[in-house]
Amino acid sequence: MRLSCRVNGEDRQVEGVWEGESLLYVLRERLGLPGSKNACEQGECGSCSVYLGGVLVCSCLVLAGQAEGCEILTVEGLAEGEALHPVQEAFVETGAVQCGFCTPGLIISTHDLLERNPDPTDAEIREALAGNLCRCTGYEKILDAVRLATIRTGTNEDPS
Amino acid sequence: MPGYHRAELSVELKLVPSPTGEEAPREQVEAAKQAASGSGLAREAGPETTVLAGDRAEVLEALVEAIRASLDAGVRTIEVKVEAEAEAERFD
Amino acid sequence: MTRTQTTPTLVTRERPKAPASTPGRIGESTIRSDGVPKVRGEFEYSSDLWMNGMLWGATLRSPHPHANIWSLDTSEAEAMPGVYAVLTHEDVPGRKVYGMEIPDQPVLAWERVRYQGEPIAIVAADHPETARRALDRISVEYEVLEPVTDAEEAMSESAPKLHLSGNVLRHVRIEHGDPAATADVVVTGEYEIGMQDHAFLGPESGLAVPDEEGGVDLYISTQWLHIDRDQVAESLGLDPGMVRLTLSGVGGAFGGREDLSMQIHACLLALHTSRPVKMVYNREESFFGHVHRHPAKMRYEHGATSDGRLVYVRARLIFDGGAYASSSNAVCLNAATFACGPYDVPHAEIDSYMLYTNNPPCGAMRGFGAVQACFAHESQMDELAQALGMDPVELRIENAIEPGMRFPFGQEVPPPAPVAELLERVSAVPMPEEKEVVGRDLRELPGGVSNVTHGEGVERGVGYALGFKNIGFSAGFDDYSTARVTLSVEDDEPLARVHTAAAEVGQGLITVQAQIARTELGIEKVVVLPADTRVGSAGSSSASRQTYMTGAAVKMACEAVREHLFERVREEFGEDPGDLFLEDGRVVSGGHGIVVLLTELIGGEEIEELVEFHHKETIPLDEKGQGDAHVQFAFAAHRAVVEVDTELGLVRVVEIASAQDVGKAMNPQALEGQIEGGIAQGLGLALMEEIQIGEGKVLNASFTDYLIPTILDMPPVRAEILELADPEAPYGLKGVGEPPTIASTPAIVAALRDATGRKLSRVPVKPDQIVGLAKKPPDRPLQPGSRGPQGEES
Repeated sequence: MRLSCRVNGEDRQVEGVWEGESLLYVLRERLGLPGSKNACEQGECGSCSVYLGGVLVCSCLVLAGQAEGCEILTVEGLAEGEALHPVQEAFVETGAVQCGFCTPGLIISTHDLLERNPDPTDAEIREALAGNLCRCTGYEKILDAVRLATIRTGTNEDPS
Repeated sequence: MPGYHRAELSVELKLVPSPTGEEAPREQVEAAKQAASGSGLAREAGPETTVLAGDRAEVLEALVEAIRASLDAGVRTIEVKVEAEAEAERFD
Repeated sequence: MTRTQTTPTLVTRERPKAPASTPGRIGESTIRSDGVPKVRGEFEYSSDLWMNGMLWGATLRSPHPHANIWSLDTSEAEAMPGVYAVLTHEDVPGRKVYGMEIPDQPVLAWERVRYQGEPIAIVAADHPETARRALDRISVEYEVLEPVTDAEEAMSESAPKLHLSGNVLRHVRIEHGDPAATADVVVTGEYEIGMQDHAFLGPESGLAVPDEEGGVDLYISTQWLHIDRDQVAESLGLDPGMVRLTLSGVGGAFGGREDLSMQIHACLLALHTSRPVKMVYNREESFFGHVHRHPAKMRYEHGATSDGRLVYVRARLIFDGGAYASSSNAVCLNAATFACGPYDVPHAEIDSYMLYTNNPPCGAMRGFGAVQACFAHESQMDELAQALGMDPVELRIENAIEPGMRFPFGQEVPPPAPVAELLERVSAVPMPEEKEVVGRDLRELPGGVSNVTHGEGVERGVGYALGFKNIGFSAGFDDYSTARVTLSVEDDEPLARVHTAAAEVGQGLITVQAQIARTELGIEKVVVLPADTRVGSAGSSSASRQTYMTGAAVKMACEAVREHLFERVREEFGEDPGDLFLEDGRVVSGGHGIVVLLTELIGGEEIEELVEFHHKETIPLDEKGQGDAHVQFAFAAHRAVVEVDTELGLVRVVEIASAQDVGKAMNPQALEGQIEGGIAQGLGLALMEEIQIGEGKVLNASFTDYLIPTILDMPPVRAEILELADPEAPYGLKGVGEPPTIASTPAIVAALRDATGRKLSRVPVKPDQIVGLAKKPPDRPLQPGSRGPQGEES
């Protein structure tokens, strides 16, 4: 089948999509956007998180056809040119990235959290990110990253 | 800790079962393998292939036993490849 | 069994990017150079690889844990449109088995399968779904056999022999002191540990690209490129030079990438089809695609004087190695040498057995034998403290091993070994605040927002544990790492290029290599080249060894470059090399100040040095289990504070405090990450992680059913980092990756016992154990150190 959608602000069209393909597969294998990750393909780990029509989804659980005509934002679309998004910056600076396989999903989820709740408490951060598995960091530095991103993106002043 | 040690001596025995033997070919090979296993040095390395690996003396001793057992099991041809530990550095 | 196709023109893949970085010096927290591409989604992992015209590989796996294969018919699959190759064992041109220690594992099974998930055939097709459907069209006629699923049963004479060499893969026995020693106070216990999975997030994957001369390039995530290359080449029947490996982005490893998974398969398919072939496991397949942590049953007897000095330890450890050898031999040895814990034990008798069964193969995982033993010896220390009426911390400090003493396996304890100090430090960390349970935010109670308790039945407990681990490869293995450092001038600046084959698996190795080069050469800019087999082996990124081994190799190569520069300065300027140092891109003399800019000294040249670093010699254990088997020892102490809903058996870990001896913190931020991440895996083993096996079959091969800690499960970690230099190690550093995983599990279980008063002798601890509904372990008489695989206990 043919699929048309808008990905990271660009109109994209792909031919020859098999009907059973997930949005994750189309992004990774047909659109050259492998940033969204294939860690479980079971909707359990959050590594494939993207925005579909402004809603946070596990792209492994979305059939490609459901994205027809939709707007999609992936981790590749967050930075503006060379400048990282403050959430991305915070992950790098706090050491929240080790192997990095969970990172794109966590960045999208954190972005979504801060859109909804610009000043989350630790308990709220933990709740919001509970659907994103990380196997390397023990999450301590991920919490640090979200706290720093909160400061950077919010109206809060950076105390440092 | 993987230790990619090569044994001092490895002998690969490839057994060619006799089509006219009393036992079916697969059974001949199986019987020969089981007989070779007595030494504790044997392992399977293919459908008809058994490897004996260890110190030189023990492998040479086990080899004769293994050949004898294979012949007793009805196997008529045995290809033997003997490999001494490579002198060369491994991961060059 | 291959359909011939027109060979497409091969596009040579670009090598992975290696940007220049300006890292901090050693000892500074410095931002990882792969951090930016990783947060942008631009870092190329092995599952992201893509080439025009590439095919997809897929693997047919046995549904049975033990079966004979009577026939195998691939013709229907081969005839499917879009299918380019269907291969079986007959198509393996070289050695049909592989394995790091003992090559006993079939590349593709022939007449027998020994575990559920064993590969039987592989397919290459133009779409992953076509490949998957082709697998369904391969018909295999099985004769299902009774699986051997219990390690102790595998020892018995009546058990079917799974391999020609028998079911006992290894037995290590340690005899130390007087085997007949007696003691005032004796405690016995039987402990059990379930099968843990690495659950790295990046699945097994890679891309094999055939060249036009019969060779192949493999882009792969692994922990040791050269051992992969040698095994791949051997099975392909190729000269190792014709098999070139390049490390692709690795999504975590933890020991689970030491063994081969799809490496040989992808190369076979690529060579057969003359097309690039990509293989990517999904999560379910990943559970079958790599080894797991060995389940163990451990029986212990500890004897002590009435004033709390250890007299003896007797232990019998039984490990389920699963169907193939993997690195089980070394795990068996490690567990034996760590069986008594970091204590002064005058008399010991240890038997460690490794068995073949029809369960999934087990092998390397973070902690490597020390994890299992630590859970048992630390549980015993708590039992002993209780029997003696002593404080468990005091008992441990009283018996802590010290430099100059000997471990039960005969090796002298090298300094530093601050065992007592670590425990003192961790005890001194202020206790976390205990908020009133009633009225608390539900998210801070066991069970969380499931709304199961509002504070009723919640008890707090505290537990301590000590653990230790050998760093580096042991028992006579001549382990080394190779580094090439090149210094040149680019854009009017000195630039060092560091080339090794060491695998960055997430731990931050490329950053530490850059830090070392910057520090040793006194320059700003460093490029760490992609790891590949164009340079000599770096050994494995395992055993917490890579910063030690490859760090030392990079350091030595930089020193050689520096000597070269100083010799030139001596020739040109008459300066005494002994008086020179490098700083800010200049050669500086202690007496005369700046001598020359590096840019001027080097000009258009490239100064290149290639070195190999070997660690000190170790020796195998003798027949009494004695020998200087290990290179270095690293220690950690943990304190866990937990809260338990004693009615439902739900647990919330409140905090973990840790004190670890690291020698030198090369990159403190990355080191903290190792400690926190290692503790999370220890917490997982304590509370939730277990591959459930029924009749040899895996029952929970998904992240829905195999649970790993989420951000809601992980408490804050308070880490005390102790830097006491090891005089024999580069920069005095110690490996840091494994110790956090070892003692955290028993510390949490000790805290659970403290909260509930229950014995809890098996991990992961399940709610039914906590509330007392679980079956007790069978009441068998203890047979420590019984002398044969057919011990009297059966």
